[in-house]
Amino acid sequence: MASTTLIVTVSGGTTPVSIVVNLFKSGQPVTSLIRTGTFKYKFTDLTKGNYTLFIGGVNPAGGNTKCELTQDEITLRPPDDSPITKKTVKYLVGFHFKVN
Amino acid sequence: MKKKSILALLILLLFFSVNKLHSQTKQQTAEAVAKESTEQAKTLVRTENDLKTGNWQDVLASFFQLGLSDIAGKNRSLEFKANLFALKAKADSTLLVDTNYLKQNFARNFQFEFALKLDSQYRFNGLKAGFKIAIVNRRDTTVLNLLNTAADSLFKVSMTRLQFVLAGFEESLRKNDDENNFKTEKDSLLYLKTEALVKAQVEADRFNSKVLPKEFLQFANIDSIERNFTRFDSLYTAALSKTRKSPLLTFALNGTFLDQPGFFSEGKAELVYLLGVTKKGRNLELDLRANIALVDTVINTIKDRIEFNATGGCNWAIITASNNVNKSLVEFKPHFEYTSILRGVYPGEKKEKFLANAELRIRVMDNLWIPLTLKYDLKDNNFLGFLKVALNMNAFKKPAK
Repeated sequence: MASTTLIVTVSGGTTPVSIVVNLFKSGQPVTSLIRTGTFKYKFTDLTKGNYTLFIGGVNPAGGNTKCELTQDEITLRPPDDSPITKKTVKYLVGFHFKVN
Repeated sequence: MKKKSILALLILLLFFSVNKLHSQTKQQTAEAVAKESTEQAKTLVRTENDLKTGNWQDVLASFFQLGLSDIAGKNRSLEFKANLFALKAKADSTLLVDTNYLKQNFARNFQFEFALKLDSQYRFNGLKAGFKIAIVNRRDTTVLNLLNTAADSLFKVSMTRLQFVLAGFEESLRKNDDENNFKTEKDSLLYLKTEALVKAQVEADRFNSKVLPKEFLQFANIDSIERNFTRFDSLYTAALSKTRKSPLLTFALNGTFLDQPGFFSEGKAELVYLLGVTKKGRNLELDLRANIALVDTVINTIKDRIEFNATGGCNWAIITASNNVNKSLVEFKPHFEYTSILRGVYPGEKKEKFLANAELRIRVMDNLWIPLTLKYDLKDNNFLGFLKVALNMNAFKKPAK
């Protein structure tokens, strides 16, 4: 079983609305999170399979959000990369990885 | 000779702005090539300076502001305004993180001001130093909070639903075995394309499902997601607009010191109040200012002259950008000005003046405004014109390291 940590950092202000995070395994939700700003969350006991992690939110006016997924126990599926910094008004970030 | 020097300085300012714009364009082009699949989406990055009117930028600089005053007159000055938070963030970029950002309320509303005074030959002849603090600043959109409102609920519902639909679509394209790989290479590419397009639509000004692959639209009905995003955008834009019209009250104190015997030249205290109002669909801004100045006239009989000045008017964004109504391109500010000499009236000088003024500002570049001020003396029927150039530098475009 593997684990990975998601670090979401909001800069240049505060997020106006909630940050929506969902981790899916083979299309089924494994973990759902609602956060209101910068946070760190460790996903543990990840069993064998394909995972998709989505993070969606709204940036502070003139600010940005950085989404980082630690890759010591998981490997991101190309062309995914970490970290990703989003500067658009709204954003949706997706990370895909496989646990063997 | 003087005209040539002024022209050279203006060309220099324009060159820097054009150069910056050119490098941004090159970078955007490279990004566009790399992300071909997301080209259909229109991404708009709005900065605080985009959203501020020039009138507001002058009252409270976003980060740094460099300005030239009275460049055609005798009292030329090179002005620099710096927000305390911007300076601190340059030294410690972690202050930009939301948890720290909120604690920096004072620094975000405190501004230093320095100006080098130059004579007609552009030689240094004095220094102006002071500060400005926003006593009331309810128009800071960087800390806009819509949590637990209808906008927040709409966003959570539509974003959650979209994430579930995307994950479900991905799974539908995978084999139902232990390896759980995509059924075909074509399915893998279809999913990559779909996710890229969906992300681009989320980031675009308006979510448009028509550009998404038909396979995805057949898999799930996303009409409600699109509707909810549209409703959210509308609520969010309205909240930003309302915030930008909220009151702003600033207090400033500064002193001018000359490079000559006597040293102290002038001390000034100023109050500025701005309030946005909407009248007949037009975005206007009530602008009230009052200042009192203590001036050393260097004339023994009139030492410590005291002047009171008050202005009141409305700033009107006449022309706004076609892709962003909140970004004004041309502004017009008609206003009245009252001046009274409370102590130390010069011989032959009027104790009171009442002027009708008009200021026209044109945004030449994103951060470059050219304002033209016309002053009309209501009693003497005189027209006077002043030219002032101000260049704003946005620190967020180059985050502090």
